[in-house]
Amino acid sequence: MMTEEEICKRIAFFQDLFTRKGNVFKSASEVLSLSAKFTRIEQLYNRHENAKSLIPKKIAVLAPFTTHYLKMMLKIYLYRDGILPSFYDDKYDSITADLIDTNSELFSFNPDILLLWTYHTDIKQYPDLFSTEAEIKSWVDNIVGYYKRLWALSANIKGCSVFQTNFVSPIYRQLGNMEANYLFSKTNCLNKLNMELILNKAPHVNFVDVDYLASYIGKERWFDESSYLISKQGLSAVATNLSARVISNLLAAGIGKIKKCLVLDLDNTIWGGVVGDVGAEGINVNPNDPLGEAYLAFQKYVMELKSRGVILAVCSKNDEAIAKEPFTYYSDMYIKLDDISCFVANWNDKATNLADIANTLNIGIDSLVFFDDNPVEREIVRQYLPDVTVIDVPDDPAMYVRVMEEAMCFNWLALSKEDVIRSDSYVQDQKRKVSESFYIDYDSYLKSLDMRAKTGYAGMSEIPRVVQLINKSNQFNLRTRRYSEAEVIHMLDNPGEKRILFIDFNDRFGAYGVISALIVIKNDDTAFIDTWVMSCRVFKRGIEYLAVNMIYDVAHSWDCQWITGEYSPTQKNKIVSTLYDDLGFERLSPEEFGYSEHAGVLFRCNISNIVPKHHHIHVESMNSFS
Amino acid sequence: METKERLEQIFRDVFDDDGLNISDEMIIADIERWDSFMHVQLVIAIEEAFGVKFEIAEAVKFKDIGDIRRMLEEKIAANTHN
Repeated sequence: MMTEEEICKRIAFFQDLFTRKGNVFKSASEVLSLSAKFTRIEQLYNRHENAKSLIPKKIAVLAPFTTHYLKMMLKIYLYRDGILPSFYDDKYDSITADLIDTNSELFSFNPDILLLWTYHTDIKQYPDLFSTEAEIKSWVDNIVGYYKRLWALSANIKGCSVFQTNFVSPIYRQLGNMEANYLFSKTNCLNKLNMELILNKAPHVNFVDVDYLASYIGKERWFDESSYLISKQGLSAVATNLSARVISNLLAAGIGKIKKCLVLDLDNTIWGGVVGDVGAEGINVNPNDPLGEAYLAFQKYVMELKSRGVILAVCSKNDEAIAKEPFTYYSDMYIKLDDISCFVANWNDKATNLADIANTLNIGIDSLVFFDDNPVEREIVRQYLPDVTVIDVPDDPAMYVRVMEEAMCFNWLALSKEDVIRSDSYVQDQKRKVSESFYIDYDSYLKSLDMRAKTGYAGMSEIPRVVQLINKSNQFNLRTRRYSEAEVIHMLDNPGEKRILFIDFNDRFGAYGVISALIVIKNDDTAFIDTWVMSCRVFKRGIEYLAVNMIYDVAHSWDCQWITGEYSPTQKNKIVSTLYDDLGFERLSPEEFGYSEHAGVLFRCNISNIVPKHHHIHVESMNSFS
Repeated sequence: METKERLEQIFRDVFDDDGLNISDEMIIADIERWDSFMHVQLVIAIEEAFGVKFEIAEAVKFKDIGDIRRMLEEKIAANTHN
């Protein structure tokens, strides 16, 4: 038995451990040992104040081998990533049985997350040698059909998201090198199967790329024969540890905890040398020098991140003019000044500067990734801004790309059109700001922007982006209710009672894509605004007026008398605390509202009192709202 | 550090008991909180700490602490000879 003092000490230890970002858990046995120690105090830990901010998730792990160690390791990572897990007690090797029987324990457990671990031994019969292409195709179709049925069954569990691993071909090869030469080899059959599964993926399914992880650490370390034979582990301890870290990362992305911005130092980070000392002509970005080439390779990698939607910022201890010189001096550097959404070069401490960057870009401090060659700066940021992900930058610039890859910071669940245009729209914003200064009043500035919006009911093609907005928006978010893709898709089933609305927006400087989403629910004669979120990049354009007109149209089409809404305060959504007041809603006490579980401020508006709000956005409606 | 002392550290960590003392005559199964899951955890921890790999036959007879220590010392000696 542990004494009370030991328990308190241990709780404090884990509180500290879980706030540390970056890779603090090194080895598999360390993580296992931490998990065993944590489990002894887990229940007491969860009663503490700091456990209240954790998001509870019910997780079922189904695999054809023992999931004990995977769950142990996952637990530690999930707590660190802000999730309070409760695990389904699975029966070894019963994936199909659990899913097919709607009376099974799995269904009554009602998981939020179903982790389906596939394994090459799941497939009992592989194509024969000399199978034709058609025979292989029918073998693949048969297995894909099996998974499609499983996905359809899992869709019966309300709000459940599936995370499924892709297949890893085993370490042994029947045909040796010949596997590469024949379509009918097991290696190629599994490759084809992985590909076909992607083509047939259901919307609530996410694949976990364990095939990459296996190749990253090597099949030799991925599989461990004696672990399998002795304790029925399908993966080595090292592989389990790596997978647990990645899966936790992905589940955290599912609740909106993602990194959005890479903040770079300049000197000895994106070029060699200190520009303040040697001048622009003296720094090393020489493509014919191995060191210069390493910096250029890093720049090229950074630009690939940018073009998939990662926002770039610079934070450098320099005079601004000097820091900017190399960008104009060298025409062949990959990163251009225009790629950087926020450029900060001054002599303030970097913790203050990072906070400013987050503020300027209107994103959370916890969405920043900091890359700086100077260990002193890194330590300061770690200490004063523990929410920032600080990369352990090695001395050798040749390894910069690799440490970024190993940190796996930008593991999002899905890529949207909006992500890809986002990193440019911050640069466009700078241009908007310049333009804003030409106008005497804000109204004529807004008119000059030539704003246009497409609005409508969200369908399957808008759902992924709507889900992303619901889970990522923190500031313009009235109630901060998070919904998985599966839950939102469920809402589409009943348009008479639930409506999902979206706004797709652009102006003369560029397109934003879908930047606002709403969920309105009919409740007798009341239309309740369940969800109202908007991207922080389009505040103060009058889009909320457009949105409230859309809500009105929905309420009207349902013959509702009232529109009700709620403001639930969080640390981040102060900006909308008076939104409903501004829109002419009256404040209500909870008793009048008829809901008891609400903790926020409640508002109501009679639809006969609503005057359509004036805005400067030219609207093209995809649906007739009335 | 002696193999025995390093082993003792690992045992204390895995069994979450700072007061645990091991001796050659001890059987792992005698330790309170021992189960087959902890057994595997112990094997993983020892393999990782000493950079060795046990054969199946070794891992299965992995019960007597004296045996474990002797197996480890043989492996460490073999590693240094190579």
